[in-house]
Amino acid sequence: MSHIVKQQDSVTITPETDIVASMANAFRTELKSLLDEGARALTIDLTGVQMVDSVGLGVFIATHNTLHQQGGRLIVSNASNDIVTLLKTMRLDQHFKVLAAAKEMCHE
Amino acid sequence: MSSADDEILQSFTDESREHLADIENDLLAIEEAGADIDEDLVNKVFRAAHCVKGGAGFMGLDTIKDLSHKIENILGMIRNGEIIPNSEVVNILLLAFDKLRDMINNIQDSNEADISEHVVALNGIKAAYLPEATKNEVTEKVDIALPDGVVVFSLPRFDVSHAVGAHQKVYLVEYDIIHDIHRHGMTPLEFLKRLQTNATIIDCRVEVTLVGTLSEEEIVNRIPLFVLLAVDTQMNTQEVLGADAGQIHAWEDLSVETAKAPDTYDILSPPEQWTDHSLGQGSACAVPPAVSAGQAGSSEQASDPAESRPTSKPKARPSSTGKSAPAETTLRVNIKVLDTLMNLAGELVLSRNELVQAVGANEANLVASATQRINLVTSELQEAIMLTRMQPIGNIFNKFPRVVRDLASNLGKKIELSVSGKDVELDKTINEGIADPLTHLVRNSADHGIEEVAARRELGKNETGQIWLKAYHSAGHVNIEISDDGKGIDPEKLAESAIAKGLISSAQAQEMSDKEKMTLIFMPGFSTAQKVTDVSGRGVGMDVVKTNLDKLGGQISVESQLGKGTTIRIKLPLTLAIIPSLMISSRGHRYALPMVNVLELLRIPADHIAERIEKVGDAEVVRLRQELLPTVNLRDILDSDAPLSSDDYHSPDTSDTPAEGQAMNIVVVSAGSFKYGLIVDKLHDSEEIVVKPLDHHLKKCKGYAGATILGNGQVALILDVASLAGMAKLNIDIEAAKGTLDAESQGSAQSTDTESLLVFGSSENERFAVPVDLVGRIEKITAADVETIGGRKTIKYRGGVLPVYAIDDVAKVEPLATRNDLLVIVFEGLGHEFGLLAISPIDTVNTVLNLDARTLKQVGIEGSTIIDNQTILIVDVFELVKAVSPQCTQGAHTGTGPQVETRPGEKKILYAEDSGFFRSTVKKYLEDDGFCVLDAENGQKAWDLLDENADDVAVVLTDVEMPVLDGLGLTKRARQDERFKDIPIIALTTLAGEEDVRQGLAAGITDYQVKIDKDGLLASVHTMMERYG
Repeated sequence: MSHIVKQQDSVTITPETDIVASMANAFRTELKSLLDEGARALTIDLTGVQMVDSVGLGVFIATHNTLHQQGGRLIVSNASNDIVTLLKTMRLDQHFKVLAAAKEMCHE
Repeated sequence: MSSADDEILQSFTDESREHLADIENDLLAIEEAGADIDEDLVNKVFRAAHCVKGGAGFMGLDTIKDLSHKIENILGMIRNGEIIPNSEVVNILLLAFDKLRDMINNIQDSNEADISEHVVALNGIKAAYLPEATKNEVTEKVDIALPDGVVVFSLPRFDVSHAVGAHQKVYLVEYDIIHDIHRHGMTPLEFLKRLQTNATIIDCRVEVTLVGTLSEEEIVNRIPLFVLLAVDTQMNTQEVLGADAGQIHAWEDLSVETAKAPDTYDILSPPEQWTDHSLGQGSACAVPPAVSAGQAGSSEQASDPAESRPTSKPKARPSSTGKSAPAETTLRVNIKVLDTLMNLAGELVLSRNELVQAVGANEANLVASATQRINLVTSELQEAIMLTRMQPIGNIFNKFPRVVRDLASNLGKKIELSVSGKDVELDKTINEGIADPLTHLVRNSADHGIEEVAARRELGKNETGQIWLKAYHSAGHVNIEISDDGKGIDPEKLAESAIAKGLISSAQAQEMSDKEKMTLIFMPGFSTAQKVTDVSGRGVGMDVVKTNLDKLGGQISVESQLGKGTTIRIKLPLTLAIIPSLMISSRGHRYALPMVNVLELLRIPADHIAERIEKVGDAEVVRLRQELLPTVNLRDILDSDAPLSSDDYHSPDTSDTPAEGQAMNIVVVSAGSFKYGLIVDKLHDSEEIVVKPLDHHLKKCKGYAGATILGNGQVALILDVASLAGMAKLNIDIEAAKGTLDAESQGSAQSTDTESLLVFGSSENERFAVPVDLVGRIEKITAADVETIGGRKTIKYRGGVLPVYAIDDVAKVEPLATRNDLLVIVFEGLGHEFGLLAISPIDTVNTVLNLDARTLKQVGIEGSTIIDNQTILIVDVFELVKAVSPQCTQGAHTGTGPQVETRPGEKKILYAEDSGFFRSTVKKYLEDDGFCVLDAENGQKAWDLLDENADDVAVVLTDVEMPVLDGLGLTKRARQDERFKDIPIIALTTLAGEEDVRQGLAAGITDYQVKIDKDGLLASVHTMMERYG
């Protein structure tokens, strides 16, 4: 189970584990229920996440698409260098906001 | 950051450095070619910028990417002839590349770097040169569509046409992240990295709309990814791209059309869709839901302005740790060398097997042959491994054209740099170490050496100054020469400057030869601080250059001809890790002396030690050919009173000084500018030793440069010749030697108005002096040693009989003190050897001599002078001897005074000499030989005399160093005169170096004679007389 912090309609979810095929379904369900509850600004905090595999990417994109339909927005925060590189290379940072880990938060 | 990422980053920086390494010279060549561009060259630079951009983009190093992108654009325009690469353009490019290099060297902070200045400059070029149509190209966008008409990318036309132009092939590949990546067991990141090893990603796009939403029951099973790739490899495309033929679309198959609504710079900012996200404003919520699959090709959505995104808001990146810029940790090695290494490793294994078998079989001859093989293989292995560390010096040299170009334009000079020997290879460590010193030297040449254009024109030199940079192999060393045709270095000015800074005294300066003065430039604290300019004054003096080179085991020397130029030579060892060394031992310990420092070996047989080794104060000096070398006894310096080791090469010898009857071994070593003799107990073989650094707790031990392990497993310390000299306070000893015994052979180097006197006693109250130049040596004897045979006092001296005299034998002075310990001052060179009895104290004094030749004048006493408030009687040694034993001086006139009437018409000798002592001494023995002598105290007076007595003077004798007009000047003047063009001119010196002789002969000097060598001089004068008369 991921750690979830709610604040009005903005939610931060911290999975604390690599986002890979094996956990994707459970994670998906969690996200879905959050969005169903009416979350509009969703932050997936990647603290502690080392790796995102292809299925994980799919989850991000699907979450983005869902939020997009509902007029919400997705933020991926505390992403490791690897993950930032990946998302940027795939130009996914043009679709949802990608924040790198720790100290640069204030710049954004 | 993960280690894998570290690795990629490392390889990115390595590769980028390599790409950027030659850029400067290429850019300079481009500048030179001007409008007539060499397309290959421009392409090369373009590709370098491009590769950096690609890698940086992938690594998320946005700032680097942006800058390299801008550079690439300009280069592209140069290639297309849209921009003429004049010096202004090239300058901006050079600066931009500098910044790029800075950022790469400091990769962790690169994203925070400020590149706005460069971006403005680069954009400025672009704007200035772009014709309207091309300006459109920058802003105009094209849609790139699949063969079926679906538009996938929309990019600025400018970028697209450049990407297509710069690479062999461009492909658009359709991937499915789930199918092509996940099913192959790769993570997306791994996949991208693999892709980028062989291709450059121009753009990338995930078709997010096809992924669906969370509400769908099934987990997503399809994530389409379009990648626009540029490939430069000949390898199998499908393999490189990791895709089937069906997924790959070649550029030719794609349709490229101008986008319907061309963007302008104004809307280069992100299109709406992601603007919302990046701004993170609530209003974003109002954007309509994602479009359906059919609309996938909409240009708005697919547009990728990433490359043209404004740089004003650089994306910050986490820099995980405060790591400093990584030092170069990798090295590219020629594959052939690696193959050789592999072969040798194989050989080594075989040899080991052989050895193991041989030992097992206990067969001596098998072991011997195996050993031989291992020996052979090891040497080859060593050589091969060394090769892997060897790098061409060109890596360093290549940056100098730029340095010189920038300097020349900064200083308003015209300078041309010629470089040769770029292929010479040096150990990597050395190569890195000499970069700074070399830069300094080249800067010096450009800044201080080469004159301004106007000055050069006035001097009749070519307006363009030349600097040559040369590297070549010679005698197992690499030599580097930096020479210029500038104004040269004035040794006098150096000396003045050194005196002004208090580094040397003026007396010292006067004793120095020009060559020695030249080495002043390397003295710590000499750096001419007032000349600190932007160019060469970086607070680094030549002493730092020298220190750096010393660390590398290099040697530096300066040679300069005033007005013609300066040459600086650097001699470097090929490698530092393994050095040939001479093994020596002292007190039973073995030491290694690097061969670089060893000049020669000297073995003095036991019965010659007394003759060859002399004592000055506490210091021993050894006489080697014409020189006196200070010596350092390794025993005393290292003072190792440790128990003797079981060194089987050494026979224990515990006495403090070498035992009587034992030969003395001296290694003549050079420690940069000076040399000395190192007295050791034993000399052994020379060996190649592997240098092991001393551990930190031994670092403070002076005198050692490192350690090595010998064949028998023992540890030997490597001696540091320079610091040994320091420990022995040798500098002081050298001074002492200069002041006393050295003066024997270097009399002429003394100043024109001071004399070195040896002051001694004879009776308890009176003090006497003789010129040091006449003194051969001083011996201690006891009163009993003096024998009176045949009415003459003699002592046994070096297996012969030496006549000795006391001053009171002739002069009316107090009788010799009746002491047991006496001194004998041995004079030689005045025809024969004889001794003068004296008593201590004995001292040498450098003084300005005010000779009172009347008050106390008598036979055997030339006069008196006052030194330190004490009246000193100056002994006329020659007269003294003549008075006691007239037959000892050849052809002496009996009893008469020294004055000989000058008869008109008689052939005369003109003698120019500034030292009063020599003038009277030499004049006297010439006159005693029957010659008539005219003497002058300087060249000018001599010339006047010569002019007056043109018909009478048969031979000219001249000192070389004289005030007003020196010997060479006199000679030149005489040779220009028709009357004297054939007159024999004999130069009198105390020390005739080869260089002096050559210069003298060039000036027209007929012969060289040593002042105190009476016989040689007389013989020469006779010969000349006959020839001329």
